[in-house]
Parts: sequence; structure tokens; C-alpha cells
Amino acid sequence: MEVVNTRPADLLIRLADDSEAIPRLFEATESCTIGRGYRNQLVINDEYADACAVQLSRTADQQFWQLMLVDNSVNVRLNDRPLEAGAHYRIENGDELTIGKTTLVLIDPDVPVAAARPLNLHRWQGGFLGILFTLASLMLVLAGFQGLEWLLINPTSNWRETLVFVTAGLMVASMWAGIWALVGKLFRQQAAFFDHLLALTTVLAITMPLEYVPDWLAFTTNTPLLNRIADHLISLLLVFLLISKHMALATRLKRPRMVAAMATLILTGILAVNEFNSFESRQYWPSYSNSLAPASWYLGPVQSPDEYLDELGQLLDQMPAAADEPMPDDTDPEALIDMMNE
Amino acid sequence: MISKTFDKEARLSSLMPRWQRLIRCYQILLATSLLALLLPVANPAHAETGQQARELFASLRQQVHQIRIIDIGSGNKHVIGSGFQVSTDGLIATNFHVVSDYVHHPEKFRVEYFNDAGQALPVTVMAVDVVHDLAILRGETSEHWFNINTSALDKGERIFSMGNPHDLGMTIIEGTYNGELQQSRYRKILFSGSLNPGMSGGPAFNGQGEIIGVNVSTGGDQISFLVPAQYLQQLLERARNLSEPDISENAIADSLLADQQSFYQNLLNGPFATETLGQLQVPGKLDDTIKCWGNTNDDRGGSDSIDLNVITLSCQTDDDIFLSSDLQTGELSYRYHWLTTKDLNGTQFYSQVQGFYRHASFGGSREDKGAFHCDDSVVRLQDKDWKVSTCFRAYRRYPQLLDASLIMAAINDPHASLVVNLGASGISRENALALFRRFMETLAWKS
Repeated sequence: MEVVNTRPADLLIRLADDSEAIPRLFEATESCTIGRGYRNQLVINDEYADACAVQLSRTADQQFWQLMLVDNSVNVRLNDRPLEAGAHYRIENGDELTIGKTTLVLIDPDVPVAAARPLNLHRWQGGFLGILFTLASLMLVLAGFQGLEWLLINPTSNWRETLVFVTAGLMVASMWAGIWALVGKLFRQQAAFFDHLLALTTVLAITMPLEYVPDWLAFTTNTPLLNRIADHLISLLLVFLLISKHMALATRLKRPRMVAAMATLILTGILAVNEFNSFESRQYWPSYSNSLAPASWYLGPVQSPDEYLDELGQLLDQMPAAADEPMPDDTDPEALIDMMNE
Repeated sequence: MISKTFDKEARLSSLMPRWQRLIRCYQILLATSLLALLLPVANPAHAETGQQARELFASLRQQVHQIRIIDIGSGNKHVIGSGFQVSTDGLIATNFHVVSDYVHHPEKFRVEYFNDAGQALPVTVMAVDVVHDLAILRGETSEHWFNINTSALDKGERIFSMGNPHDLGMTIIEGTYNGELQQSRYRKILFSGSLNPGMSGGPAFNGQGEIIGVNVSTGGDQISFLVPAQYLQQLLERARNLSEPDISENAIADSLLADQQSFYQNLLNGPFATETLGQLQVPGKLDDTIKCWGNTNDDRGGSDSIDLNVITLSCQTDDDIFLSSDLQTGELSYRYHWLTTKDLNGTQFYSQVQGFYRHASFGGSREDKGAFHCDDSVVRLQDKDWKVSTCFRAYRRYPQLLDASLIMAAINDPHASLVVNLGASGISRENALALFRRFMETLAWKS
């Protein structure tokens, strides 16, 4: 690297994509930590940034600024190159430091910059209006869900029920965001309550309308299995989105989406094992598509009575003799519960 | 003088405290009740019947036994019932349901009878008639046995029954013969007397001590049922020719198969009676042994109630065949729900209809029946679309029999639909398919 700062000098840091932002000046005698946590000298509002990502300090000879990763921070790149933990990197004029999704330019203080807004030091980006927007969005999503329920299922619900549902939903969502905020406080020194609430609102807005898809599929295709699969897929999507959003906000995981995908995969495995284990017991209850809708929604073939009865004849031909089917396992607690229910 | 006394008493009465008047009322009521109780005792007819019951009990007690199913593991009673001698060579009649646990699990139980002399003696189950709930056992030879009388009785004729209710000891009860049940798939005598648990399999006899039926079940409050002696006679003749017990699963399966064949052949060969329900003609009361009930539930009342009108027609056979405490079979039931709405939209309406579109679960544990096998489709009947679903479930011990359930819902009209729930237990596959076909063919929209 070419040395530009040949004297002990101050360091200016500004946002790469916001030339109007007032750069932050660090005097030559200071050291500086940058990260998401409030205790840093330079706080950046980036959910992908670590609580304390890097430390800037003077070299031993006081001639240069140098940069060091803190606590194996992830998502930090200097001039688009990853950094090694424990190594020191000398800073040059114009170096671009990327932390999370925020890119900072480290510049010589002699370079003139335009005066503008203060550099990105607030805690909640949306401000008060953003809070109002988040709460209103969540209420709207909950009310929308109730509205869909009214439109598609049960027209007896009234504004009182909707109010109770929205209030209860708001409380539950707040508790949920609160728990994640505590996690965030623990791992990133930043609660980000409203970020979590906004994340939950977004995920609910995406997945809630999808809740009706399995029933629709069950009717249009007459396939109970497809119904179950769709049901599980929507649950997995919900889990993936929630985990990835909340993890990114509340933890220092390097790749929150990857972790969310892994968690979803593990959950898929658990669901598959559970499905497999309960397959036998489920067979002792009729498994059929019980969704009903107007005929115009149906996409499958329509049979004549003769065709359908022929199909039933084939089903009977293919049915294994009941005597050949395994007897219930008296030692299996799940099977015992099923038998008690029967 | 009389009037004065009366006036005085009346005045006193009016002056009496309320509680004293109440006590006086109770005294009058008590005296009246005692008088009413004493009247029958004084009635010569009752005295005569009481004398007859005493004589019958004294002369017949030696040929009526308690039947006990003993749990081999614990060595204690598992089930108790009653039975009676029907031959000198040791044949004893009882109900199949008394010995069914032994028949299904001979490795777990043994059968014995406890005679009037207080002896517990071993016994062998020789033959069973599961359809009419009868069994013949072979025990020790006996000099005392019942004659069977299959001749018709007159309604109102006094008959008697013996048995050991609740293991309390051998008792005799009297009641009246009230003819055979008219709307029952299996002939049964209506006995106006109080049978109780433990009396099953006991004898019901006339004043001459001749068997006219076998105790089988109770409907409560002096409503009891007897198996007619004719079926006992038939089973007894079969048992007499047996050197070895004939209680195999195959024998039971054959009788079940023959019974359902006879019932469904009769049903399917004749024309289907129809009834009008909403805008459709539907199969109605298909047989005398089937009872139908109706109900209308108009839910359009309150502001927060769903705008859904439901007319229900529900038909089913009144009795079934007992195979085990977990498994009864031989039922046929069909139910229609005609649903209409004015204000609901299509999806709202069918979301409500969905609640009626459910398969019968039938009875029976996993030890008795295999897994369900279902098929869903949409079928077009007379230019109208119906969502249909069928489920079958085979019996483990009787592989030719299965439970069959068909549900159908008309899905063309967004404001009116008919849901059909048809279920038959212990039916052959051929009869199930034929029954489904007839139902589909008979359903017709009114033009």
C-alpha cells in the first residue's frame, strides 16, 4: 500500500455512498472502534454489522493509522478484500472499509468535504414516524388477516372481534420482538426492538395470505398429501424468514441466512421424521381431502360415476389384507395414545 | 254441631303454623302411599303370580347357572353372565357376548359355570351364533334341563326370566311378553321386565317353565330384549351334531358374510324409496328395519349468527352385531344435510359446508381393523358436480368384510348444497360398491 499520511494526522471517516454526510474526525491522539453497538466511537446502523467490528489506532511509531479486526468480526472487508483476525492493516487515504453493508471511506483530513447531515449515529433509523409506521403496518397486517378470514371463511366476525384480535396480536408480537431485543442486547449490545417488530411484520405480511394456499390446493387437486406438503412448506418459509431476520438483527452470526437455512433444514428433517413416525397411526383415521369450494375452482379431472366406481374397485383390489398389516405396538407411547383416543 | 266442629277445625287449621300444616300433608300422603302399596298384596292375581314365581324358581334353579370368564393371568372373574341347561348331555345356552372374550382370546381366558350347588365346573364353547348373540357350551351332564317352546305367544302373556344380576345371586323376575320388534334387523322379543347386567344369557320362560327366549339386552325402565327361542333351537341342533367345537374365525366370518349378503341383497334388489330434500330426490327409508329422523336448524336469527339453513335427514339401522366389547358391526347409516344461504359468498358458504363433509370413523380398535384407504374425486351426476370421497377399512379377522364410507357434496351452486354421508360396517366389497352405485343413481335434482 502506498503511504499517503506521512505525518501523524487526524483521520476523517465518511460514508462511501453519501458524500453529503458530515465525516467523523478522529484526532491523532484518539483511537476508534466502529460497530453497531452504542459504546463504539463510531456507531453504524447496519443490522449486518457486528457490535464492535474494527478498531482503528495509531501505529507504534505514531506515523500511521492502522486497522484491526475485533473478536473475529465477520462481514468486514478493506478495499473489498477480507481481513484476517489478529492482523493489522495500515490505512491509506481513500481506503474503503466495508462493515456489514456499510462502506466507509477513510480519508485524509485535508481533503475538503461538503457540510451536510451528521454521520449515521442514530439508533432507530426510522425515527418516531418509523415507529408509528411499524406499529400501523403490524396492525394493518393483523386486521388484513382477520379481513381475509371474514371474506373467505366466517362472515360473522365484527369490529369488536377484529379489535380484540389486533390488540392480542400486537401484544404477542411485542413480546416476541421484546425477546429478540433481549437476545440482541446480549449478543450485539443493541436491542433494536422496533427493527425486530418491523421484521416480524414483514414476515407475517408475506406468509399470512399463504395460509390459505394448502386448503385451496387440497380442493383444486384433491390430494391430501399436497395439502400437508404445502402446509409444511409455508411453515418452513415462515421459520426461515423469521430466523434469518431476527438472527441478523440480534446476533453476530456471519451468515444469518445460511444459519436460518440450516435451522429450517433441521426442522424439515424433524418434521419428516415425525411424519414418517406418525404415518402408521394416521392411517387409522380417514385421510382425505375435506376442503370444499365452488366447482369453478376445481382444476382436476371430473369423472363419471362409472369411472369413479371402477377406481374404487381398483383401490379395493390393491388394498393389502388387514391381517398382513402390522399390529399396533403396545410399547409405543404414541400408539397407545392413539389407541386410547380410538 | 258438625258444622261448628268443622268451623272450629277450619279456624284452628288457619291458625296453625305453616310447618305444622306441611307435616299434616305429609302424614296424609304417607298414609295414602302405604294404602296403595298394600293393595297389590291384597290382590289375588298378584298373590297367584308370586306363588307361581316361587314354584318356578324352586323347580328351575338347578338348571340355571352363572357363566364366568376367568382371566388366566389373575385367576379371577373377567366377565360374568348367565346360562341354562338345554339338554341332558350337558349343553348350556348363553349369549355370545358373554363368552366373546374367550372366543377371541382363548389363550388369555377360560370359561366355567357356577351351578346351584355352588360348584365351579369347566365348560367348552361348542358353537356360536354371532348374528343372534347366542352360544352353546358343553358342561357336565345334568338331569335338569329346559324344554324349548317355539310356538307363538300372545301379547300381554306373563313370562319369567332368571339370571344372576351384578353377581348378586340367582334371581327370578316376571314381566310380560310384548311381541317381536317390528323395526329391527334381527328379530327380538320385547320383554317388559327388568333385565340387568349379569343376566345376559339367562333363560326367559313361560308359566310352564318352557324356554321362549334368551335374555340379551336392556333398554332401561322395564324395556328388555330376548332372543327368540327359534334361533336357540337352530343353534342347538347344530351343536348337537358337533363332536369338536366350531368357533373358528372362519365360521364366524361365514355367518357375518351370509347375514350382510341377505340384508343387502334384499335392499339392493328392490326399488329405492325416495324423499324430497331441498331441491333433490334422495334415497329415503330403504327398509322397515331402518329408522329415519329429521331436523331443521335455521341459523339466520341473530345478527352474529351465520346465515345458514340446515335441513337434516338421518337414517340408520337400529341394531348391530356384537363381536367384542370394542367391535360392533352390521350397521348401515346415511345422513343428508341440505344447506342453503342467502348472504354468504361462495367461499364462505363452502367453508361452512365443509363442517358437514366428514367420514364416519366407525368403531373398533386397531387390533380389529386395518388402516383406512381413501379415494377423493369430483364426479358429475346429471350435469352437476359432486365432490366425493370414499374410505374403506378391512377387518383383520374377517378379511371379506370391511367398513365403507362415502361422502358427497354438491358444489355447483354457491348458495345451496347437499352433503351425503353414507356408512356401512361389516359389508362385503361387492355390496359396498353396489350400494354406492345405487345411491349415486338415485340422487336426482328436481327439474
